[in-house]
Amino acid sequence: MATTSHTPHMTKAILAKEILKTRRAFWCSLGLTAFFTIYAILGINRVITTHGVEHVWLIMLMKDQTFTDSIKYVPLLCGLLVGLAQMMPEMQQNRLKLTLHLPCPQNRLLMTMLATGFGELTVIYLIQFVAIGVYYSRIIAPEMTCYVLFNTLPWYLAGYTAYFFSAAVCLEGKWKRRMILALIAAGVVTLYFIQPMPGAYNGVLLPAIVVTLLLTWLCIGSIVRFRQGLID
Amino acid sequence: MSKLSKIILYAVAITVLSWFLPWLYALLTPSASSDPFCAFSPISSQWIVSRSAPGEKPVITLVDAFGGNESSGTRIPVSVRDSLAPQLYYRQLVAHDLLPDTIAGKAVSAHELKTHEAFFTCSPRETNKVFPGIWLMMESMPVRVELSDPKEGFRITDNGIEFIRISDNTVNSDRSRRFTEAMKSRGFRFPAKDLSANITSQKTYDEGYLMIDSEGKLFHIKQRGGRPYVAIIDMPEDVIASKAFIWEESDRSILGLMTDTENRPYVIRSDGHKAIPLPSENGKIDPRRESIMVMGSLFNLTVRYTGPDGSRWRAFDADSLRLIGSIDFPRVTSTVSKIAGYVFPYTLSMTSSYDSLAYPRIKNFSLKALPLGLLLALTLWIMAARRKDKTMKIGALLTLPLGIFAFLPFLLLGDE
Repeated sequence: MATTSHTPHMTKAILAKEILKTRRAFWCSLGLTAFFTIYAILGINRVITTHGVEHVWLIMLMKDQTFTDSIKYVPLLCGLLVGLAQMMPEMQQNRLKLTLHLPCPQNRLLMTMLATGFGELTVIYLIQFVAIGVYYSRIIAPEMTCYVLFNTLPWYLAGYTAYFFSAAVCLEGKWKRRMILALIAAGVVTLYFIQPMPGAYNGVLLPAIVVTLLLTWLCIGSIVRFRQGLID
Repeated sequence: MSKLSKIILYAVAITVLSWFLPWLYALLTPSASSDPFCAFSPISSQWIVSRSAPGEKPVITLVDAFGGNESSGTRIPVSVRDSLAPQLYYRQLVAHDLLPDTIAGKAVSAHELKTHEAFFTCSPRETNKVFPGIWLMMESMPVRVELSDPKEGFRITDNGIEFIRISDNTVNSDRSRRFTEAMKSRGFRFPAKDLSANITSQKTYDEGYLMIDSEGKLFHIKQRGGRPYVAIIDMPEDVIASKAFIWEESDRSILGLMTDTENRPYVIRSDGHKAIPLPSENGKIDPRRESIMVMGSLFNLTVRYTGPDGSRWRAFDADSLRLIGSIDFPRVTSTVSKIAGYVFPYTLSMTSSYDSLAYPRIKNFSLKALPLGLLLALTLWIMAARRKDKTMKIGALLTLPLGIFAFLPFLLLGDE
């Protein structure tokens, strides 16, 4: 009973703890994203100044370029950064044992932790997504803006995938399984980058979102194993 | 919760391995393409089949126009090949002063041969590409001689065509109205099903677009002096166009190619805007599954269709489009692929050489991998029995159909 009555306050407290823990990673990721987004936009501006806006349309429509390649791996980096910053201290300083003893159900606790990282990444990705959308809508037709924005979605999914996997790897107690999880993560993330053609992933975005969200269960698996004492 | 996390982990691991292992195998065992290059001789009316391998001299064989095969053909040296295929090697012949005045009853010169040269390719990858729904319109009759990059794009709606000025990203209502009216007056039914154009200022002339309307009629549309030029292509009755390809080669007599909904190919003549069906012996062609290469010359039109089953070469008379030669090269499975069939029960790939889309494709099912699957399953079962591991036993059962893809995850992850 005591656990249940304490839960809402405890959830808030965990949320506050996670925000404090990830604040540096969050601002670093936001800074990195802002830098590469501005770099991409300046690159397009440079093309417009030197070759004219017609060239941007021509290259985009005939050469399958979206001028956003410089931001391609940034969401992935952000996902890794936030995931590691959030979960590594739990294992390094053995804080996870203490965390798991907090008066809060295990799954709610983990979901609150993951929701914090997920939310922070969503804020970063949304800022970038909107910035690109607003910039492009001024210079190209709405259909082309959608084309560019849809092309960035697999990169964000790769970012979330990297986040969930880095969390699962950090929360795992055995080094052998950590390595295997990391290899599987590398394989899954690669799948989002193997086809560079714009619009290539449009048909699989919905199933990919579902699979990405299901990856949260990998973290649950790691926690369960940790509680079972499967630690090196 | 724990069970679900296990299921997800194993499912993800099996999926990743099903893609990664065949990919790694293909990367480590590259094999050269065995497809030969063919030309049709206007002099001997035979196929000239050339095969070349890195570091080796090309093997050139003269093969009968119909039903011939390489093994029964005559080997010829490079110099004879040059003389037999002057439409391709006329520069070599001119350099040695060997180009005759007349070939197959036609007066020839290097200039004449060059003027009638044409080369066109299209691949399923290009045909199946995802387009954003905006196209560019060039000016076919520029003030200066050279073509310039397009200044306007357009979208096709349910009711018409809408032009957009690239400079300020606004709609050009006047041009949109003029083109819509011109197209509707010629019988174009919006929206368009297919559009084909070569948008580049590097070409010598612009023929605009070949467009297929919602009823499957084919139109030739371009911008001349800012005004619309719309012409309907005359097709045989009851034919519904499915895919069109504009050509724009130095030989202007052919406007492009087209296939209908029955996958029958047609050549579109510029003169009279007529779609001429290729002889039925040519066979059907699905441009969404097969790549097309056309080499045109003063004498003949040589076409190669390449698909998953191999390549087919056809030669047509340049004037009458009569079939004058036919040779097929079925796909030969390499030893490397045969070995893979014993290891992998199936392969999973996210990409394909036939389109530019990313989605999972399970293919290359092989029952030959069943013995290996059985062996691996038995190994896993014995290990599971020793360790009294239920998960590993399930893994053994899955290894039987899924082979090495299930064996590795259950072996490596099923130790606790």
